[in-house]
Amino acid sequence: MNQSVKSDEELIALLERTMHKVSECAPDMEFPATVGNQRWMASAAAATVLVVGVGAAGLALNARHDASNPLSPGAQTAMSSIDGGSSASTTTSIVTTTGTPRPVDARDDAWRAAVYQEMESFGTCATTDYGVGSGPQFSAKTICTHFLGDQPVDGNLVFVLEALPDTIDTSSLGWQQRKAGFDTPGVSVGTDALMFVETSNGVARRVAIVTPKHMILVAAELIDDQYVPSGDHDLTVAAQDLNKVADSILEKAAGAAGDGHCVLASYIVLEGDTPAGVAQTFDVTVEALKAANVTNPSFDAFPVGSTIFIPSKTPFVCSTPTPTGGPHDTTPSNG
Amino acid sequence: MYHQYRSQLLGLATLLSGSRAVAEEVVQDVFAAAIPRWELIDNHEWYLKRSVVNRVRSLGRRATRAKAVPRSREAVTGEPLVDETWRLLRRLPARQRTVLVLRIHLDLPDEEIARLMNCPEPTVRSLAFRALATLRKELT
Repeated sequence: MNQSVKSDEELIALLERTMHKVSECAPDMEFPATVGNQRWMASAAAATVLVVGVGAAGLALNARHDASNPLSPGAQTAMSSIDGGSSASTTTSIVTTTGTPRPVDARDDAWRAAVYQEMESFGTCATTDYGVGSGPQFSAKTICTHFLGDQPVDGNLVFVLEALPDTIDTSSLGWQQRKAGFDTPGVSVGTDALMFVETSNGVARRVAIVTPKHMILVAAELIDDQYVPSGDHDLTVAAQDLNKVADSILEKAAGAAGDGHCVLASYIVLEGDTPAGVAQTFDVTVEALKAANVTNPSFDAFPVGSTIFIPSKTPFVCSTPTPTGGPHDTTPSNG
Repeated sequence: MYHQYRSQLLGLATLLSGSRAVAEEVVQDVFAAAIPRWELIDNHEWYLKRSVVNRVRSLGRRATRAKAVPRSREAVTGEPLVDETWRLLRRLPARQRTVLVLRIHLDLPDEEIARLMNCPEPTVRSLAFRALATLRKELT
C-alpha cells in the first residue's frame, strides 16, 4: 500500500469513506440463492409443498399441501403489508414439521423445545402432521446455512435447502437415503433432524434441516456437493457455496468434537465490566454466569483481562468447563 | 417499508458482519422476526437496526460464519486504500468493529452505542480505542 494514515482525523475520515462505500455497495450484492429461487419458482407454479420427515423407525414420512391452499395466510398478509403489497414473491410462510421424534435424552428435549419456540418467533407458523409417503422430493440445492434465532454455538444449526420442482426425480440424488444411513452410536439421524418448509405463494421455496450439536457431522454429510448435478449453471453456483458451507460446518464440528460441555464462549473482562454487566451483555442471568464459572478461579475477583465463561442460554445438561478457551472462544476475536 | 429499510440495513449488516452473504441472511431474519410484531413497534428504524446489531452479535458469539469467509484482497470499491481499510475492518474483533460502525457510520453517541450493545459506556470507549489503535498501526 503506497498511502498511509498519519493522524486520527485522517483515520476517521478514511473509515467514514470506507463504511460509506461498502454500505453503498451492499444493495448491489444479490445473494446467490435469488437466482435459483427465481428460476425454480417460475417453473413451480403448480408444485405442491411436500414436507419430509423421518419417523421413529427411520421411515420416510411425508405430508402434502396443495399450492392452491396456502398454509399460512396470516404470514402472507403480514409480509405483504411490509412490502407494500407490491411483490407477491416475498410472501412467506413457514411450515414446521412437528412429528413425534424419539427423544434421545433430556438435552435433546430441551433443544427441541427451544427450536420450536424459536420457530414460532420466526414468523407465523403452521404445524402439520407427518404422513406416510413414497419418498423425498427435495434435494440439496443448498445455498446457505442458517442459524435460527439467538441460540448458542452448541445449539441449533439449520441447513436451508432449496426445493426442486416435484417434477424432477430426485431419487437419484439420494440425500434422504444417505441421511437414513448415517446413524451414529446413540444417535438416530432421522429422529433428531428436524425439517421445515418455507413457502412462497403457497409453493415450497426452501427446506431447512435443523440439527442439534451432535448432528453437525452428520448434517455436514448431507450437503456433500455430489448431490448437486453438474452442467447446470445455477446449481454450479450453489455447489460452490455448498463447499464453503461444508468447510464452515466441518470447522465447527471439529471444535464441537473436543468440547463436550455447554459453555458457549469465553470472554475477557474489560475495564468497567461487572458480573451483572457481562451477564446482561450476553443475555444470561448472573446466577448462570456464576454457575458456568464455578471452577474458574478468576471469576470471583473479576480482574480486568481475566477470562470468564459465558454459559449457554438453553437449559442443556452440561458438564463443568475448565478455563482453557478453545474453539468457541469469542475473545479477543469478538472482544 | 421493506424496500425503504432494506438497503440501509443491508449496508449496516455488511459492515458489522464483514460479509455481504451473512448480511443478506441477517436482514432477512430480522424482517422475518419483525413481521409478527410490526404493528406493535413504535420506532421501526431503531428496532430494525437494533435487531441487526443483535443478530450479527449473536452470530459472532457462535464463532461467526464470517470467519469462514475468505479473507481475500478482492477489490470491493475500486480504491485500494479503501479496500485495504475494509479488509482490516473485517479482521477486527466483532465488538470492536461494531463500536466503530455505530460510532462512525451511524454517528451514534457512546451512550446509545452502550445501550445497543448492552454494555457499559467505558467498555464502548475501550473497544473503540483498541480498534482505532489496531487500524492506526496497520495503516501507518
